[in-house]
Amino acid sequence: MENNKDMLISINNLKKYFPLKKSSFLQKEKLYVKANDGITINIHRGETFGLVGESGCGKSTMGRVLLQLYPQTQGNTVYYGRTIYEYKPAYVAKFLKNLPSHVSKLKSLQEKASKITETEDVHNFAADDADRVYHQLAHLAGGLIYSKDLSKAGQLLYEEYQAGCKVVEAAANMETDSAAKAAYEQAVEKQEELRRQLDKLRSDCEQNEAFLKAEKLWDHGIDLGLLSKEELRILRQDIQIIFQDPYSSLNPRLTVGQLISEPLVGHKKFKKGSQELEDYVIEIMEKCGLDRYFIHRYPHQFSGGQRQRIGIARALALNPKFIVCDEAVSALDVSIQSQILNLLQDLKQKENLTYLFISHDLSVVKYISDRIGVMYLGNMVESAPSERIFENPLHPYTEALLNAIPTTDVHNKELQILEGDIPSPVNPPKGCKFHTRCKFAFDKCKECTPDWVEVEPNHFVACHLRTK
Amino acid sequence: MKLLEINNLHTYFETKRGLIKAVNGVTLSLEEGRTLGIVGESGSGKSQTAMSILKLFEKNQKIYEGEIKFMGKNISDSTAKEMSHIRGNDISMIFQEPMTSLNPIFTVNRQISEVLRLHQGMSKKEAEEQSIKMLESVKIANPQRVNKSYPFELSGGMRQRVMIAMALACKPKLLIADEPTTALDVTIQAQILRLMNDLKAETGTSIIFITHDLGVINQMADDVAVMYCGQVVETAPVDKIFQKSEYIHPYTEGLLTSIPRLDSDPKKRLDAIPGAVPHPLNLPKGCKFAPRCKYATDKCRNEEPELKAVSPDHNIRCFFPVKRGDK
Repeated sequence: MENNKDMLISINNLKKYFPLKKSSFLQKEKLYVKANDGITINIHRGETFGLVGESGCGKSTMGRVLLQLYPQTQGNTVYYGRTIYEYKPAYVAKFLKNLPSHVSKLKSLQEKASKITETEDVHNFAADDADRVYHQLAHLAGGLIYSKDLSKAGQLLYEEYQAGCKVVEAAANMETDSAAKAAYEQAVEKQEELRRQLDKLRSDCEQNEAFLKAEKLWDHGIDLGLLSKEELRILRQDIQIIFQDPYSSLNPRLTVGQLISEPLVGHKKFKKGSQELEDYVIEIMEKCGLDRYFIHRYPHQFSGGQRQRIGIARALALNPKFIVCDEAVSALDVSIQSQILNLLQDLKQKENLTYLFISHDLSVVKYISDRIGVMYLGNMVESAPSERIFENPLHPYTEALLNAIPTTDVHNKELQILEGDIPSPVNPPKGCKFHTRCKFAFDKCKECTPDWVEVEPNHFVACHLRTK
Repeated sequence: MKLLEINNLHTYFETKRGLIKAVNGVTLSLEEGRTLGIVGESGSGKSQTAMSILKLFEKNQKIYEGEIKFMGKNISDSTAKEMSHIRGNDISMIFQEPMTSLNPIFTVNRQISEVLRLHQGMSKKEAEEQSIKMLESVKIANPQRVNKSYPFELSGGMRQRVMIAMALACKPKLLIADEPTTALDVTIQAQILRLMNDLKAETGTSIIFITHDLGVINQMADDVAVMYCGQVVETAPVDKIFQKSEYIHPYTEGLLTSIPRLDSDPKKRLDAIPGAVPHPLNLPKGCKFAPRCKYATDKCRNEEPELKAVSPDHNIRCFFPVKRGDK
């Protein structure tokens, strides 16, 4: 397990299914477009994670599910930009106060799931449900979900959580009020005392594998899937998105100034129409390479590249920690594309940002990313540090993708062809989803789904060829 | 033999706000059996040059000056009737977005047959057989079924194959492909590029290939023309553009250095061309590229350079072509 401290977002078994309308009244089975089908990755602070794949592979869906613009069907998305003590989401208290009932629900789900693997019912979510609830609980309670005295564990955890909230509150007060120092120290002491009691409770538990596994998951991240709408709205000042099409993503009736100040007013950072707001908007605009006199212009007066700068300025206005760039440069001309890439790189360094950079253009992704994930039909097939993906691609699909890019190298013109089209995500092939187009496919590929394996440090791949 | 010669072509749009000089003095030529690649950013006039060859014009658009010689005959002042004989028969075109250029309410068969019946006078039955043969030749796996399908039933790559089959149905001498792979995924793009190269080798059709992607140009073209603001700024054989020439136009150099490449160093900042393409109603005086050019002098800002040969098959429109380092 990686160090949770430098993780910003952790995704576990993320699934997003879009239900399809029944084509006839007699149709029994409910069909889904499986846009994301079980993705597990971590994104670290200050890195750029590039996501590549052909159109329809689910990369944009994943970006949007991360922001919870689409509610996830299954899985957990945990955000570490703030702790639960700072943010105090409502679900924490709800879970900790009723720990025993939640754990018994988990147990019944796990039982149900274990039965289902025998009958192989594909459209039953029991296993996923069990996994999701397990992670939700383990993030909050760690190994204590196996404690014999669950109500006591829940009570102690809840008290510790409240104490933690007080510590954060008192720390914030200290900056303005010197008298708050005593309150702060008191709160810290209380929290430490409660933590000692929790440790004792933990040592009473059986130190088996299951306990240690859950214990490792125990952290103070925020599970985005459990937040209410309003909580999410507030949290979105931390996580922002830049869209592909700078033409349709800007409201044509608002001026640049209004577009950029809208989120600032919405999150009550500034008063509408105030001088401070205007100064701040101008500061942001200049940071993004827009002249200050553009503030009263409308989007249609700008070229594509400048519109994209407006989109970036709007995303940056709230000082986010994490930005999803969804094909942010794909609609731009080559000479403008490089300007925007340079701008994104500069801003990342200055503002200490983390990007999820989604693109179908591998050379752009290679240029900007620290790590790259390759997606195919809703699954991640390979993920590795940027150079390793190009030096040593381990999945046949990654290799095919790399060999299909036309380069400007005059000596090496031969493109390798990957035959066939992408299968439908409604009814993806069984086993490894790539086997229909893979030249190395053998019998096992048609039957079993390959596991997500770490073959060298930080290099994950899901392919039977690499796990023999 | 020269199949197509364009001399000093000017195609303008008349608008309320003034003349838009979309094609502003283009001179190009294409030898039989070769592929000419035209690169440029959006608004550089590359598509309008192609549209001018076929005279596929908007109402307010017209050729103001210049001539287009196809097989030795000037077609720039042909009548609409003459043009309709040429279109689809001698010269055909493939467009960027295969969904919008195929008619959604007719089957593939009907759309391919239409060309054959019109230009070759085939009967319905002959045309259908030929249509299936054409689909086979573009390597569609199940031609009988696809022939009866509607465009919405096909994937993007398949639609582009159908477009190619339709364009090649009458064995044209010249095929104009306007960004045929831009809307496709890389793996599908590679399939289509390979197909076009194979078909060219089989039929000997000359191709004008328009794209903004230098990598694709390297795959497809024998000769390259780089366009900027309605003008050709550089023409050369493909090898010379990418490597083997002594001189290069500053814009071409900018295009080559500004794109991230798979073999480039990711830590280095990209050498972006500053600014943006000027508005067509407000073109700069002198060299059109001067405002964005890092080598520009006062001469560039006041006088307009001519397309001049730096070596027999290499022309550059620049007073001070950039000397290439040892690469």
